Amino acid sequence: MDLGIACSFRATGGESLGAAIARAGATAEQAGLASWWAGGDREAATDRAHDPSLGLQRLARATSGIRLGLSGDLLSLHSAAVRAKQIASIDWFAGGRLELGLDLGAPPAELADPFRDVDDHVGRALDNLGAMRALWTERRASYDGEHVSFTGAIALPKPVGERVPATHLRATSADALDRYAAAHGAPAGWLAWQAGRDDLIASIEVLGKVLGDAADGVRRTWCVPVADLPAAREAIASLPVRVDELVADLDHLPTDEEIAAIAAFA
Amino acid sequence: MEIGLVDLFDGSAERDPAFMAQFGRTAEELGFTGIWLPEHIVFFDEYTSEYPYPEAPSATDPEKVERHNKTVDGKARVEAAADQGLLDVLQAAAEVCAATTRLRIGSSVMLLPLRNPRLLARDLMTVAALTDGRVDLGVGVGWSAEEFAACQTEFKTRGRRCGEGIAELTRLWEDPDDIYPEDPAPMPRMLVGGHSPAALRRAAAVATGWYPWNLTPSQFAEHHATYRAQLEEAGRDRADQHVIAGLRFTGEMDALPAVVERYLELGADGVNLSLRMEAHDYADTMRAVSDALGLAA
Repeated sequence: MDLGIACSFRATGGESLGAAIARAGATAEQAGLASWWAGGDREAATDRAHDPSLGLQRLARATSGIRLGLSGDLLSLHSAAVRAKQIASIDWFAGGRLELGLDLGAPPAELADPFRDVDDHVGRALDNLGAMRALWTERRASYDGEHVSFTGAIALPKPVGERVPATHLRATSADALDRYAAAHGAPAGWLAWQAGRDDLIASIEVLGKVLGDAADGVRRTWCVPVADLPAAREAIASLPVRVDELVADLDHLPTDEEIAAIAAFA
Repeated sequence: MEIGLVDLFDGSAERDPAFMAQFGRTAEELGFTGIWLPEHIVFFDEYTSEYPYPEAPSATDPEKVERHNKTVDGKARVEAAADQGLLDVLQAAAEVCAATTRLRIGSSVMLLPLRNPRLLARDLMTVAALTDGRVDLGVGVGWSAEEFAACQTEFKTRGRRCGEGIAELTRLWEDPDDIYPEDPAPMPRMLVGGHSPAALRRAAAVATGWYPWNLTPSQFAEHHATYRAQLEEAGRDRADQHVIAGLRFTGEMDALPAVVERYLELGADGVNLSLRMEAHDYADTMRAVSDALGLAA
């Protein structure tokens, strides 16, 4: 089982944002952590943190091998093409290490685009993802969706290898997962984010109920607040469900000591 | 003398992060104030939209204009490669600023109507923190209806959305909701690109600067006078604003000082030059410009 870290991009102790990201990224990689997840749009708002994408771009430049993830993109808040370029650019800087986590929940009202009404956030996010996949993989991209359509669009750079970055879903309802699977197939990963033990088990049951046997091929990531890491680590062995990765979450950029304390649970 | 370079980082192997860093350091060492990066989200092989920018002022007589650098069937076209890439402009800014200490990075120009201003506010607060406030935001409304359609944004109302977006960004900076980073760095300068009556009105009413492109000195003087008058009507002070004259320069280097000096005499605070430098000889070109204008002295 892999061990990773997640955090909101908020510097503490008088350290500048850029210096804190570079230091923490290098330390996490040296400590052998498998992944670094940027907090999602939702956590950035709650924690009054900096932008996950720009933070992850700096983290990409401070590291060379650790997997990098956006953990909770609220795609319905963006133009699909704008977001496709931002994500492709991070991946370019990261040399193809980026993974994408989607949050299909309703966005905080404070982040809603004042000039764009969105009634069905799940539908808009799924439509946007379809458009983004076309822009990432087609030399002259075409897409015809309910909310976005284009023909012959040239979108460069593309993610490394002209691939769709591994796409994880934050644990969500059976209905939302069903809609995702109908549009895009099974997700690459399932993120039980800041979930307690019972919520984790319930969410993985949703995965099995909707996807059936295909659920076995979905990577399961369990993210817990850093204070709950010891208990979660101990609980893993007796869980009735498989977990592939355990992630400790902080509301700030970790100190070297905090990273070492997390890495000790590997 | 405030001289910026308009150039691009395209996400190619040739212009990799090491190139970006060296490009920025070379510009900084040679005395340039900033690098300004164009933005397009997507390109197309064919456009029905008309490319609106004027032909470039002549190097030998800037009151005359020269044939546009790229034309198809006699009509101007955006000067882009067949498979043109552009990195996300704010990520590129963060990257180059990390490799430099004084150089400013600007957008030339960001297509503001395509952005959710509430997310863009967070982006800008972040890039301001990462760069110690060395980012300027040129903003514009674009010209490609094809690009706007691909970005799910109504083309005909883009001007209104641009003005309202600037106002929303300003509001969020002055009185931030409690979802944004605390104590953000000062708001980037926001310079409205273009010289249409609507662009001038937006620049004077809600922005902190004006950024016209490829105007002859006489045209610049005329529009600058209009801009100043509209600032005055709005009760705003020209001294608090920033004006940069941008142009595509293709002439001989010995003609450049007089061209630049003319815009500065007419009230520009700075001049941005698009030279379309090649990866293999950009340092030589930068040095020639720096020497011609005495920037490194």
